[in-house]
Amino acid sequence: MRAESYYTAGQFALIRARFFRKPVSCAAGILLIILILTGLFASFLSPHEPNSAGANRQYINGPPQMPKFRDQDGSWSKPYLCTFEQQLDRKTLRRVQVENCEKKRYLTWFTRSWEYQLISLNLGFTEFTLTSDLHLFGIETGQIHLFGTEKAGKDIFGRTLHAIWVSLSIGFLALTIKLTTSLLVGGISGYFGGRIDAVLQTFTEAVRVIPSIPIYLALAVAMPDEWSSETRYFAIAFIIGAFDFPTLARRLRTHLLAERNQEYILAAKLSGSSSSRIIRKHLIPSFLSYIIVDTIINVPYIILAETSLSFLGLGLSEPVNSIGVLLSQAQDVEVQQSLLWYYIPVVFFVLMILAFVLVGDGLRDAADPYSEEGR
Amino acid sequence: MSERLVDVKNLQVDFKTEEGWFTAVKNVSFHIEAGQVLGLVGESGSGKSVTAKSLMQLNSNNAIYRSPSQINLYNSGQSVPVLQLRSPKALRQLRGGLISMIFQEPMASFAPAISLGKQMVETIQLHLGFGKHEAELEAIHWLGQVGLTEPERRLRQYVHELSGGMRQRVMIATALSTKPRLLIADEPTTALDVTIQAQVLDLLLELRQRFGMAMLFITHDLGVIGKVADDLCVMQSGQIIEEGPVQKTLLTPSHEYTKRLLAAVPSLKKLQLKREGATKSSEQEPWSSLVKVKDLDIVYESSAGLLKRSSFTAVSAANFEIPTGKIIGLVGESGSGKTSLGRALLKAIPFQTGSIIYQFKDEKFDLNGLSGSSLKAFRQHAQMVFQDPYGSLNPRLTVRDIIAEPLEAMQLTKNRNETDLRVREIATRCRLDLEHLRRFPHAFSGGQRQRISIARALICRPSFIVADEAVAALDVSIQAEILDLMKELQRELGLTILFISHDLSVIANLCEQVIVMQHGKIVEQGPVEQIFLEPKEDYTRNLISAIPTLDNLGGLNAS
Repeated sequence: MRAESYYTAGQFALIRARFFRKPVSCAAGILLIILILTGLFASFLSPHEPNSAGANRQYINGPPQMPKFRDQDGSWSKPYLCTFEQQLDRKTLRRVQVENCEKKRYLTWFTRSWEYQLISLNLGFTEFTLTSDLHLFGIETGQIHLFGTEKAGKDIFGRTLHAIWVSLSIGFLALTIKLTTSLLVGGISGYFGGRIDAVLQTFTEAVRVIPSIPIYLALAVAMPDEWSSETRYFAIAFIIGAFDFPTLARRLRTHLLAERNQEYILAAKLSGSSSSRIIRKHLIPSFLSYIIVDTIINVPYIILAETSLSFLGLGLSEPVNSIGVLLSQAQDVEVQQSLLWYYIPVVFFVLMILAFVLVGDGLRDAADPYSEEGR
Repeated sequence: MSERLVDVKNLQVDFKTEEGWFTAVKNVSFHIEAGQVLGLVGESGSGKSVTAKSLMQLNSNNAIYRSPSQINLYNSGQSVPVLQLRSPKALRQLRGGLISMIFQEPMASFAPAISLGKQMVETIQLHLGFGKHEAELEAIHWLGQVGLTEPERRLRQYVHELSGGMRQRVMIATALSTKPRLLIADEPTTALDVTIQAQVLDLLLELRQRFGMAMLFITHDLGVIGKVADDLCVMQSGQIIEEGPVQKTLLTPSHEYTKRLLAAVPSLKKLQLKREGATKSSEQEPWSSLVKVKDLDIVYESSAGLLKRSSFTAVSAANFEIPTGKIIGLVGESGSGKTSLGRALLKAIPFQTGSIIYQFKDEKFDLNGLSGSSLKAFRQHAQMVFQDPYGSLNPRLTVRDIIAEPLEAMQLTKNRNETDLRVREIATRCRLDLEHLRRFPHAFSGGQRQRISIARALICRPSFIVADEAVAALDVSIQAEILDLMKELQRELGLTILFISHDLSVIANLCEQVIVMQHGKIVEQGPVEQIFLEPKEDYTRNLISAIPTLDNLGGLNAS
C-alpha cells in the first residue's frame, strides 16, 4: 500500500522529488542559490565600493592580494596582508609594487566601512531606504583587493560580486517581460484559434524573422546618450525580453491548440467557466512545468545576450558593473599578456551559466514523467 | 485427442516500475491444441494482454519472466522454447511466422503513410520468401479470403481510406498471410460497432473452420466469447481463476467473479420478463416533456482550402421530445451523430436550423439566441457526464476543485465554506470517500473517476443530464456499479437523463425510452421493450440481432 502522500502529491511535489534524486542537479541548484545570494548581498561581501569612490589610486593594475595565514617563521597567525609599497625600478624606470611583510595588516571581521543601501523602496508617496555600513570583512589599514584592481584602481572583487547581481536581475527582468508577452500572445492565440490566431501568429513570425544581434545593435545605438545608466539598463532588459517572446509564445499556442479540444476543457465550459478562467485555471497550468523549465533554461541566454552587447560596448557601460562591462575591459593586449586577473569575472560567469543550464536540464527531466523510462 | 500446439507453464511476468516490482501475471498455465479456440476473459489490468504478448516475447523491456515460467511451442514435431529465444532471427520467425496477432485498434496497427499493399507484401516476402510479384498475388488472394471486394484496389489504398470493419479485415488478412500456427486476437472487435463486430466474428469463425487454425481470443465480453471459443480461461488480477469448456463454464460458473461478469451480459429474455412484470400500466401514464427538439440540423463547416469551405451534416431534421424524469437512451453506431446531438442539446456546439426548447419547473429556455447570463442560468439546469474518465478531469486540479468548478465558475455560493459543504454533500451522495477530495485524479481508477465526473455534473443541482457514453470506457463490473448509481440518483433527485451509448445491452438495462439514430437521422423512437422486442425498422432489427448474447448458448458450440 502506498503512502497517502503519493496520492495527494501535486504535479510540483512530483517534480521536486524527481529533481532531488539527481546529484548533479542538486549540486547545480546549491551553486545557483549561492551565486544568487552572493549577488544579493554583494555590498555586504565587498570591503570596498565597486566604483571610483572605492578605488585605490596607490594600487593601479595591482595583482590579487591573498591573505596569508603563516608568519615568516612558519607559525600560524591571524590572516594578514603585507603592505605594498610603490617603488621605482631603477632599470626599467617603472613603478612596481613591492611587498613589505614587516608591516602586517590584519583582516578584520564584520567591519564598519562604506555605507550602502540594503533595501530601497520607492512607492511614490513614501520612500523607504534601509542603509547599512556593515561588511563581512575589511582590513585594518589601507585596502584589500582579493581579485586585484583594474586600471583605475577599482576593486575587481567588489565589482564582480555586484556584476553578478546586475546580470542576474537584467536576466530576470527581461524574462518577466518575455513571459508576459509570450503567455498573452500564445494564450490568446491558442485558445481562440481561427482568425485571431492567424493575425497574432503573423505578427509573431514577423518578429521571429528579424535577426536578433543586428536588431540589438541597432536599438542600442539608437539609445540617446543622455540616458542615465539606469534607464539604459531597463531599456536593454526590455529590448532583450521583447524580442525573445516568439519561441515560447508559439510553443504555448501549439500546446493549447491541442489541449483545448480535451474533454476537461469542454467540461469546464459546460460548468459555466468564462474564457479567461479556462485559460488561467486549466490551460496555462497544463503547460506550467514546461514554461518554468523553458524560462530557467533561457536565463543564461539572456545573460549572454546582455554580456555580449556590453562586451561590444553597446549595452551597459562604465561605471555600471556588469559581467559584460568587466569583460570588455579585458580586451587590451596588455591585459591579455600580463594582467590575467581581469579574467576572474569569467569564472563566475561560466559558473553561473553552468548552474542555470544544469538546473534547467534537471528540471526538464523531472517535469517530463517519461524521461526516465527511455531505457 | 489432437496435437498439442502451445504449452504455457507457471508463467509469471514482473514489471519494474518507479514504485518497485509489479507482478502482472502470476502462475498462469494453460495449453492450446491445434485447431482449438481458447478464450481469455478478464477486465483491464487482469493480465490477459501481458499473457498473450509473452507468447511472442512482445512485452516492454522492463518486463521480466520469472523462472519457472515456461512457454513451449510445438512446430512440426519440434519444441520451441519461446522465452529462451534471443536471436533476432529466431524471434522474427516466431513473431508473424509461427504466431500472428490482431490488435484492438486497426487504425493504429497500420502505418498511416504506407499503402496497405506494401505492408502486406513486405510481411509475406519476409516470412515466406516470396518474390515481389508472387507476394502481391498472395496478398490479393488473402484479401479475397477475408471477404473484401476489389482486393487489387485495396492494395493501393491507405488505412484511413477504409472503414473500421474493412481495416480489421485487412489486419486479419495480413495476420493470416504468413500461415501462422496460432492466431492471437486481442480484443479484435471491441473498437467496432455491433453490426461490424458480428461480421468480423463470423469471418473469424468461418476462417477457423476452413483452415483449422488455433486461436487465442482475448476479450472482456462474455457474449463474444460464448460465440467463438471452445474453451475459456477467466483471469483476475494476474491469475486464472476459472477454466473449462465454454458452455459448461458459462452455464454453471463456479467462481463468484465469473458470475458477476455473466450478470452484465445482456439478455433479451430478462427484458421480456421485465415487460411481462410491468404490463401496460406505465405506457399509458401521461408525461410532460422537458425538451422539445424541432427540425434540428447540425452542420460542421471546415475550411478545406484558402477560400473553399466544405461542410458535413452531422444531424439532419431531428424531431423528438424528452419526457421529464426518465432515462432516455440514444443509440446508434459510431458516426451516427448521437454525440453531436447530445452536445447541441447543451449548447456545447452550435446548431444551424431548428429549435431546442426546454421547459424546466419554473423556467423556460430557448437555446436559440441564448448567451451571456441566460446561458449561465441554463448551465445550472443542464449538465454533462463524459465518456472518457481520464480526459474529462483536469489532472492538475484536486478532486475537490474539480467538483467545485461549476459552483466557483458560476459563483453560485456565497463563500468557500458553503462550496465545501456542497462538495462534501454531493461527494457522499456519489459514494466518494471524503478523504479523497484532496487527492488528484491520477490516484483513482476509471470507475472512481466517473463518480467524480457525475458529482461535478450534479453539484449545481441540475434537472437534466446528458451522459455521453458514460460507461463505455469502464470494465463490465464497474459499469454495473456506475449504472446503479445513476439509476439511484435519477430516482432520488428526479433527474432526466439522456444516456448516449453504442452499447445496446447497457441501454436495455438502464433506459425506459430509446431513440435510435443512423446517419444523422432518427430512425425509431419508443419504449425500450418495444424497440428491443418488436423493432419496426430494418436497421433497428439488424442492430438488435447483432448483439452477442448468451440466450442461445445451448446450440451454438455443438458444431
